[in-house]
Amino acid sequence: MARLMGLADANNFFVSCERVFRPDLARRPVVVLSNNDGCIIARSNEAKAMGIPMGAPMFQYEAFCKKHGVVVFSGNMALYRDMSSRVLKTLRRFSDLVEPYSIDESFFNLAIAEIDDPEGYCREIRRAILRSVGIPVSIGISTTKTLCKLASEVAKERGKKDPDAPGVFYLPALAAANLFRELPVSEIWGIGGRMAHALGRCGITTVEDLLRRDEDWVRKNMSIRGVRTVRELRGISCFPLVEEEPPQKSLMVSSSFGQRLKDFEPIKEAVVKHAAEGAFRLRHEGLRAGCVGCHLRTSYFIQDVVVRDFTVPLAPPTSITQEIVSAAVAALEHVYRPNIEYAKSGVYFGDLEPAEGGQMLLEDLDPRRQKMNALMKAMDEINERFGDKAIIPASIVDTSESDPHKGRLSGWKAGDLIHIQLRGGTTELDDRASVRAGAAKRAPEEP
Amino acid sequence: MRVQLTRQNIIERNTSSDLVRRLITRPGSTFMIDLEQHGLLLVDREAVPNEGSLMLMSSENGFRLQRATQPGVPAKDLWGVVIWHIKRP
Repeated sequence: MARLMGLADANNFFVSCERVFRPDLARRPVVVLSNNDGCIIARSNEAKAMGIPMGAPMFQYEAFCKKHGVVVFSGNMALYRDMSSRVLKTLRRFSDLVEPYSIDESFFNLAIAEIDDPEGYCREIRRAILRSVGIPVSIGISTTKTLCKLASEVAKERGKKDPDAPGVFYLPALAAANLFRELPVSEIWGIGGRMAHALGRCGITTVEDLLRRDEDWVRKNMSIRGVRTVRELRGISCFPLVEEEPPQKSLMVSSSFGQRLKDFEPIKEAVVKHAAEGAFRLRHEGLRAGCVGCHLRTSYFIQDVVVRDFTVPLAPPTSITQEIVSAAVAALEHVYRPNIEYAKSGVYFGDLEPAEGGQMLLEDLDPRRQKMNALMKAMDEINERFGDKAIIPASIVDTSESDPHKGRLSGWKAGDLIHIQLRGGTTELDDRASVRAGAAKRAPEEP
Repeated sequence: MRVQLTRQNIIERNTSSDLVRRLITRPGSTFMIDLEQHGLLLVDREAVPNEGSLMLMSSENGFRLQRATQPGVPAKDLWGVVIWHIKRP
């Protein structure tokens, strides 16, 4: 039985997030940079049209961007996560089963009895997300995830050519044959460059070529994943919608330093930050860790790269920030050697297990630990309401040398509430002034 | 290693979340705008403007505030409806 599902895929998600708070950039070329401003990880359609490639190192495009007025943002993951959760919130109003696939893509169930016009329904979803969050999405509708993915690409491409295109594309399995005639296999979700190359050697370049082979051939020449992908292309669902993400086995929080660091203190600061962020992620996922490790390395661009790791067991398993931070610092004390210029640090978490519903620990009954876990919950709630940094362990307050973001941070902070400042820029100044004047003049009347 | 969290913060949390719950009915579409010395705006993108509503408008020239003189404003430039303006007395 063919059950309909959809894939909502945010268009140029990181760029779209920045534009929500910068309406002046609606038609201007915009790019967003990776951690440390290393490379370009998101491009507006205008920037794509100028030929700026995905993943390009920023230093190669610095002059180009200046010359052509491309607006450059440092990545702001906290903001993007917040916007992503808002998109999900809206999507969940329309579907009983939503499966986030990545920060900017979610599959959702459309096999809902009341829906008699799935395309119209998805156009409505698209309008609702645009209205409540301000993010444009493309929606692909079909009976398998692989076909939904293709359909959303079609919707996205049409949207690029025509801004008034509906942004929704329904691809029934039977109607896909036309599309497959010309479509290279590399365009298919789950068929990577290497597999596409191997298929090419067997004379298979288009999806139609691939579908001419029978399942025995596919099984012999491709992985089990390949067999499923081919079935999905034929309209047989092999990757069902699942609400729960598979539990993570480990977690890593790391970043490159803004500059080379030699001294213990600034490195410790970075490690404490990573440990605290990791502890928060664990609690957010309802997990606790059985061990925590610290990782330090020098730059890959020098000879004699130094990479050092050390892991400390956490007994009992925990997600309490203090316990994790002090274990991570203990691990750092093992890995750190003086007089070496380090480029990157990381904190990783292993032996992850569910905090509740898993194995009950004797320590869980300890009132002191119960209190600590309640504190963590309170802290997370405050931070969720008032932005990432409302409450943090005292030793992270300083953000001096190890902070990788200096130059281009967009200035928005994210929490459950987005805190935006109308600031900066030459043309904006006037607008800010008018907003201020407006606010001052038109203060709400006393009740 | 010490976490700076005292009883006082917990009390603050309760007051704050009560306040936030009171002020914000649709957290998914509500954003906080900092006007610096002019206070804070809570703007709900899903709220429908009524006559007299303060609207945050956005265009390629940036943001501006505008009072709705009649229902049915051009939806194109409407970014959201100001549901609260919070400022020091």
